[in-house]
Amino acid sequence: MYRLLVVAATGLGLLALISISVWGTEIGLLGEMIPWPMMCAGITGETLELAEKPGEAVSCPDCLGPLKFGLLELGDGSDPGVSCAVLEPPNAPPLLRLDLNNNKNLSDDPWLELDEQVGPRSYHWFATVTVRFASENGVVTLVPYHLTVFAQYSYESAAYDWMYGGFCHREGVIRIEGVPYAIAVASLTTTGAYGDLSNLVVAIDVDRDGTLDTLPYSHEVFAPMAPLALPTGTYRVAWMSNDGLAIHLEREGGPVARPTIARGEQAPGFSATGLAGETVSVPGESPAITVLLFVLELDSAAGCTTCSGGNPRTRAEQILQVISDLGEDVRLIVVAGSQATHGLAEPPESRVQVHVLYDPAINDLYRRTFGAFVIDQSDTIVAMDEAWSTVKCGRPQGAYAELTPLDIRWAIDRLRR
Amino acid sequence: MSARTVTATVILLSVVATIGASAAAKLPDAVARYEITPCYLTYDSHGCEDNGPSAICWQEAIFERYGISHTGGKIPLSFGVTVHAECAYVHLWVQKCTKETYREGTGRVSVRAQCFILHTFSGLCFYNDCWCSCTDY
Repeated sequence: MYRLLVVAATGLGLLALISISVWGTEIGLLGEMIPWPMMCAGITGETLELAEKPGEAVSCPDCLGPLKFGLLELGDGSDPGVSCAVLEPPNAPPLLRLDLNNNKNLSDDPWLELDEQVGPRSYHWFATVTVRFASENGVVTLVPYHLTVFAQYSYESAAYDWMYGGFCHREGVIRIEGVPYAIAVASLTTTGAYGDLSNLVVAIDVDRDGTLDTLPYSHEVFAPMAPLALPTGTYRVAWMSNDGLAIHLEREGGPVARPTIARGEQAPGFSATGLAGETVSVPGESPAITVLLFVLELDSAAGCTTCSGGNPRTRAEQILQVISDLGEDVRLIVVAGSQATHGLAEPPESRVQVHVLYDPAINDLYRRTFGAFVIDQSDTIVAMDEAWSTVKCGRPQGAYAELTPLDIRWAIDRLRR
Repeated sequence: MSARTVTATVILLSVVATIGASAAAKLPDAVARYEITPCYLTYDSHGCEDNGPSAICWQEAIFERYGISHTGGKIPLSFGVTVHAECAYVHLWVQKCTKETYREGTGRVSVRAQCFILHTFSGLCFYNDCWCSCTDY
C-alpha cells in the first residue's frame, strides 16, 4: 500500500522553509517548482515518438479523429511516463492533449492552447504534468514538472516532428552551519528526475542578498559536480532525491574565495606560462592595459552562430587587427581551450604584446571558456562581455552581450588618454 | 564540412568506378555491364540557432548514387546515408545535444538530423560536430 504525497507547485511550501543539519550533512528542501529553466542551464530535449496506439495503458474514450499517441518518459521508471495524444489537421496548427494529472486517462484532459509560435509551422506548448516517483521504502510522490512540447513541420515527411523537454527548476532553502541560504537546482535532463548528480546545476545565494543570481558566470552558480564554494566552507552534493524535493550537501574543505567578476571589480589575478614559454600574469610586471580573451577549442568545421565574430578564433583575429597599432602598454592575453590554437599568433605588424595560454585553472578562476575583458592599468575590469536578463511574457529571458572589436578599441583609447 | 564529407566529394570527382565481378552480382543487368558512381554529396548544411525558448541544431544532406549506362543515362542505385548533428550551447559550461539519423534509398537520398536544448538564456550557440556520410552496398 503506497502512501501518496502530493506536492503543490505554487508558492514556497512549508517543506521549503524547513531545513536541518544532521551529522555533518546539510539538508535542504526544495518545495517549489519554478516553471522555467535556471538562467544558466539549458535542458536537453527528447524526440517524441508517435504511434497509432498509446505507449502505456491509457484510456481515451472520447478521443476522436486520426489521433497519434506518444509517451513522455518522465520519472524514475516506476511509471512508464506521461501519455499524450496529437492531431495534425492538414491546414491548421496541430493539437496536443497531455495526461496532465498522469491518471492514465486522457479524456479528462483538455486540448492544450498553443502557447508560442516560433516559426510559420513551429509551435510550443507549455504545461505542468504530474510525475510519479517511488522511493526505496515504498513511498510514492507525485511531483509537478513543467515542460514544453515542440512541433516543427517537416516537408520531408509531410508531418510534424515532435519533441519535448523539461522547462523548470526547483527552489527552496538549505541551512548550512546554521545559516539559511536560498538554493535552486536544475536537472539538465528531461526525465524530471534529480538523482543523477552529474546533471545537476546548483545555485546558492552565497552573498545572502536575497536574490539568487543564476545568470551564466555568476559567482552563485555551480556547474555539475563542481565544489560549492561558500563563505563557511566548500561542499559537494552528496545526494538528491529523484523527485527533487530534498538535497544533501557534505562539507569537503575550508572556504575558497570565489570572486565576483563584474565591471568595476578587481580582475582575479593569475600567473601562468604562455605557449611560447613566457611568464604571463595579471597583474603584470608593469602597468598595462590588458585585453583578456577566452576562446573555446574549435576546429575549422565548427562555428558559433550567435557570436559576432563567427567563431572565437575569428574574434581574436579581429580584435588583434583593431588594436595592432597600439603600443606595448597594451597586451592581449588569449586563454585558449586547448594547446592547439590554430595559428593564433601575433601579426608581424602588431606592436601590442600578445600571449596565448592554455591553462584550465584560469578558466576555472574566471568561470568561463568564452568571453572578453578590458582591464585597466590598476587591474580593474572596465569592460566585459556580459550576461543580462529581463522579463518577457511572464518569464525571465537572458542574453549575452559581446564586446565588439571597436568597443574594445574605444575602451582602450579612453584609458590611454 | 567533415572529413567524411570531403572524402565522399573527392571520390566523386576522381573516380567513376568500374564494377568488379562481386559487385556486379548485386546489380541489375542493365547496370552491371557499365559503370557506377560512388554515393556522392550534392547538398550539405548544418547549424545551430536560437529559436524562441530552444536552441536547435541540425545537419542535413543529400547524397546521390547511380549506375551510368553507355549512353550516359542514370540508373538510381540503393545506398544509405547517416547524418549526425551536435550542438554545443555555452552557459557556464558547454552543453551538448546530439542526434543521428540513418536513411536508405535509391538515386537521391536526403536526410536531416536535429536536436534541441531548452533555455531561457539566448547564449552562445555552437555547432561543432555535424557530419554526414553515405554507404555503398
